[in-house]
Amino acid sequence: MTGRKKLSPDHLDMLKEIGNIGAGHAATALSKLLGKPIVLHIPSAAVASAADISMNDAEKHVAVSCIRVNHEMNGQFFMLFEVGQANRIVRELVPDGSVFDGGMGESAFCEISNILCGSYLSALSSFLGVTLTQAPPSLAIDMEGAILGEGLAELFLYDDSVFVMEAHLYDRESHDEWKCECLFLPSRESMDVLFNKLEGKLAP
Amino acid sequence: MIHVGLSEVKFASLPESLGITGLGSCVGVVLYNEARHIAGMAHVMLPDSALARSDRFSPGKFADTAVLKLVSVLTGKHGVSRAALKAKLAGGAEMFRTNRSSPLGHIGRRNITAVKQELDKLGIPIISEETGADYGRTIEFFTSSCTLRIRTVCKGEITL
Repeated sequence: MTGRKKLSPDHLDMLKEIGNIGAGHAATALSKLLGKPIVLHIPSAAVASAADISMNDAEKHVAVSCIRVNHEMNGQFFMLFEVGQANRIVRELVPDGSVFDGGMGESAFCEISNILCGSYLSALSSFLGVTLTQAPPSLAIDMEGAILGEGLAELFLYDDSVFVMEAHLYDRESHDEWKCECLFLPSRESMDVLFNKLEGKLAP
Repeated sequence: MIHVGLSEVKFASLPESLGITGLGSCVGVVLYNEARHIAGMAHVMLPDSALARSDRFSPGKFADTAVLKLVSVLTGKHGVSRAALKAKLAGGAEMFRTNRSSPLGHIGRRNITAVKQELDKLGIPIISEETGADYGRTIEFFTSSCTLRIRTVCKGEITL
């Protein structure tokens, strides 16, 4: 495939639906992990270009987990929490842990990213009929601009698209809420795979 | 402060300052002339313009084109001789703790190497630098003192 094909509103609807199905899986898995009735909302899901990624809050202190996706599609999945929110959710699992502890707290945070990424990928893979695998997460905790500038370097190189999903985790019992942002950056070739599979779904 | 966004190249003279917030693997390159209190700053994202897929890109995006742009504007428009230019650098970190095996490799390190090669070719001395490591930086260059102030989340503040 050569050149960039444009995703239509129908494609975007399907991608948003994949996000919602993934959120359903993730809520079930997180409820089990945290032992709480967790609901996961995706208030917004959009396709963004390099120019759209806002660096307005470049100094915001965030924890980001990055997971490499392989097999029939290649790409990167990022899960981003503001540090205070990250520590709050870590303490649900490890009462005296934090994302900085280099131990249980850190691995709890990475496990949450495994669940969110895995849920999204399983929705994507069953919808598109592709096999996907995920690598172990890497963690970075620092200024948002610094982390995304590096994480999305490929995006800026090729001016590709990234899927941005806001996710709100909500505990129905305690009414606690956590906000995070998930980004999925498929490689160029994988964008073509994705496009063709979505086209196939739309064809009569 | 004049904000230098991703891939931008900007210039300032007394009493202004130039800055970048949240610098990770990108490199902030400052070329300046002390006598005239003139400076330019580039926010370099990637090492080599040969990586570009098209001819249309901002010169600040790549190390080679960014340094050339800084030099051409400072020597051309501002009339500073190339021999009177000095450089200060910051950035080029590796933000993720484990190697993500990105197709771009160690992008921070490659950015720094590329900027240094380009400055070396042009005979511009690097007076000081705070580069590499694994943390983000917010930088500001003051044309009044020709100093570069670097702020980080956990390593505090230093001035070059």
